[in-house]
Amino acid sequence: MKRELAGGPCSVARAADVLGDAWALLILRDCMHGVKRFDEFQRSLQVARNTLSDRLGKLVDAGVLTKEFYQDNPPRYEYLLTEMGRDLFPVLSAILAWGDKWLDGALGAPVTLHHETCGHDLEPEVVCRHCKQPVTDHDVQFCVGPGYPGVVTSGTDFRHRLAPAPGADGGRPHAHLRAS
Amino acid sequence: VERKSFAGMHCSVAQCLEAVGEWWSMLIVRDAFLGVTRFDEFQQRLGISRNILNQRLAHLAAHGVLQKTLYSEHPPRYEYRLTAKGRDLWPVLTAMRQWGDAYAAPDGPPLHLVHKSCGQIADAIMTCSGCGERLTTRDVRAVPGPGDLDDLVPAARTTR
Repeated sequence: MKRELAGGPCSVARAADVLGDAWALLILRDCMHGVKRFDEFQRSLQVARNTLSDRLGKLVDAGVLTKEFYQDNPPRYEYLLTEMGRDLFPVLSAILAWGDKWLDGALGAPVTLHHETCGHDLEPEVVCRHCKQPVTDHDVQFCVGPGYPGVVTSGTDFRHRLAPAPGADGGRPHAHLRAS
Repeated sequence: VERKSFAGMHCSVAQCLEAVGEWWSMLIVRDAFLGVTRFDEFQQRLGISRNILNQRLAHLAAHGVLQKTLYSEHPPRYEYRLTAKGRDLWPVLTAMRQWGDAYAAPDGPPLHLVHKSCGQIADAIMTCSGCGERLTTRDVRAVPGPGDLDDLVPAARTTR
């Protein structure tokens, strides 16, 4: 029985809980390539039909996909990304970029992304919405956010690793790591 | 049950998931970014059994995501730190966290990141390395790259 990841106050864990497992992410990858139908997912992923059916059902329940009727006899459904699902694109493109950089087996990227707006092949970058500069782990401070609960069950509490407010002491593990 | 290996798929998403696709692995990486280095603290935070944690840490070390270093000889004790390859997972975690903040944090984000260079709460966005514009699934197209051996992107799917 898989233990639920989403118990602690962490949006990464909650996202991971919705995504479920690696198959779910590969289904979403295929959706972003325009795959919609069960048989097409099955051909692409070479996964057991019951596993595929289970993962598609979970993604529909989570609100990431919608299941739409497209044919009467026999009844057939297709699976489409919702807005919540399309908003996973940054997650997938970040995973893609990491795989391209570290795991391409020296063959180069299997798939490149072409940005139709500017006409470049692109690498996704994470930037700050305010100043448009790249954001790395070394130039952020981890702070308690508005959704951090007052009481957290034992082990999952990590308030001591966070700054109580922006600019206050704490929340800089990278500084600590450099010093030690 | 051990899931099927993705090692044979020529897809960078699948290869990334082969290394970190078991979600406990990603939460270990998250904790490493928060400064956790020692077995007992990972174990306390994640609440998973010691042998599962051992397996995950060994898997991440074998894939070069974490480096295991001896820090005490008697008794022998190890700590786990992110390598350059591990730190490069930052955009993945950032993207997951922001998505979780948007869709799975009814009380608001549990955690804020403050961007030190501008002082603002860093709402990170994914942009194009060519033009700096924000990326969405609607304005990119997947095209076969130099390492595409499996026809990952059939022609019919490249246009929508």
